[in-house]
Amino acid sequence: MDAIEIKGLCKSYKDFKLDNLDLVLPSGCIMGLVGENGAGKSTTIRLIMDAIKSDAGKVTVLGVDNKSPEFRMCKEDIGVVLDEAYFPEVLTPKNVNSVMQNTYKKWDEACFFDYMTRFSLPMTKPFKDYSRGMKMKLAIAVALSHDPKLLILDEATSGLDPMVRDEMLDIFNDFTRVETHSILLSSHIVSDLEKICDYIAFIHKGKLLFCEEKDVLLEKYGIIRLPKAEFEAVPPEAVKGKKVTNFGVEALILRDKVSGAFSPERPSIEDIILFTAKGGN
Amino acid sequence: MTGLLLKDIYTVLKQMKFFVLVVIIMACLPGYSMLTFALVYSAMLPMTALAYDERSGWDKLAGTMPYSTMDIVLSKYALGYIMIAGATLISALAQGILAAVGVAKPVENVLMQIAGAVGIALFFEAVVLPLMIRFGVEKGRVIFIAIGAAIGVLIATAYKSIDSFQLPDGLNTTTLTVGVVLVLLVLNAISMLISVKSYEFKKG
Repeated sequence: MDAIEIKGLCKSYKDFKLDNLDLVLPSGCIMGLVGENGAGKSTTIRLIMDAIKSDAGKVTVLGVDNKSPEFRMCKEDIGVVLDEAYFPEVLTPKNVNSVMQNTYKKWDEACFFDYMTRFSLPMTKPFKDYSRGMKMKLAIAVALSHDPKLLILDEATSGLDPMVRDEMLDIFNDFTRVETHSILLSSHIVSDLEKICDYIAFIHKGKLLFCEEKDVLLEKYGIIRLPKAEFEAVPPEAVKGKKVTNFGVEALILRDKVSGAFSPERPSIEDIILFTAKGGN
Repeated sequence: MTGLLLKDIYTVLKQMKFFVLVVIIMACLPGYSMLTFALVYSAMLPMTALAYDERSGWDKLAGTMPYSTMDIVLSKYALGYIMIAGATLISALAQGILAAVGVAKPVENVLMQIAGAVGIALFFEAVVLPLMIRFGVEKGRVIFIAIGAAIGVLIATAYKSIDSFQLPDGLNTTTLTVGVVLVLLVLNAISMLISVKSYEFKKG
């Protein structure tokens, strides 16, 4: 069973359109959702959770249609961290614990308190006095404390310092050691995604440009740097994106479309994303 | 829904301390308008909770939790009813004590006054909540003030044009009371339905 299956998902706003999105997150995997600000990542996540209405398409989460009445129960198995923590500012973590105890049937108070200690979060300090990093840590603790099978994280690691981000990535990695556990993680920090993701999905201006296994992506593409005159010998169908400067041309190419003579370098996921977004420009 | 209710109670807890104080003072002061003010004030606490929700963006988070739209909307009504019930209890106790020591009017009069004030508070909640849920707290408040002013003008005009008001034949105080209670129940039920639809509409 796939953790998330999206087919033909569409959502239009005045100045933005999420266009015919198809995405599959296999169970037991971590998928990174990448895209510039306003690309449609948060909209996609809110559509997955049926927090906003879609115009068309079908979303199945943990085998349940998100438009069906059963999806409400299914949400018990989904831990969500949005781009902000969104708890009322006067609440303390102690209050949050009581609220969540009466929200999730499988709420694990001991687990929540463990995370609070691990993240060094004060239990009686009001949420408004927390720093952004502390707020996000609290949201992550809540998402992990009701025995979820799927984590959906929208920019959950942004605002955290590199040490804490690394600790969070370890926690997410541990979470997927159980083979039925999966994560959909949207982030601007591509290096984080490169560290832990099995799949990378790239949304650009509301369209899904690719969704592939990370290792396949890294093998499929290569980076070449050539003087302008030499670059003309590269078959145009091999070039997925290029950057022309006074010194020459840097390009992302499909390895199987060029001969070994060009000796392409291994790209980073960031290279693939940047060149794919820019295309021929 | 218990979780949502608990969250709202934590949110308005500071206001609640002030609220209990205000209700006790209002309830102890002679005069019907003070009593009504105390109860209407209690019916306003769900709006405070809504304002906090708006400011924090709670609705976005609630949309990802195992709550139905019905839960989210009805929790606000439930909060209002609990607050009105609490204020009624405090008012009844305070006025009862004052009546017993001969400071206030007889108990029967006091009970009628409290019943009337509860009716006004329930009417207030039924009218205000759908507006706040549909248009947001700020816009909703402005629309409510406009509607309130219009109703005030209508009542004042009607009051001036009627020299003496008498209940129609066959309609006594009991039937009138039952009628008012039924109207309030239906009004609150309709209000809840409108609020649920409005919340769904806001989902886009």
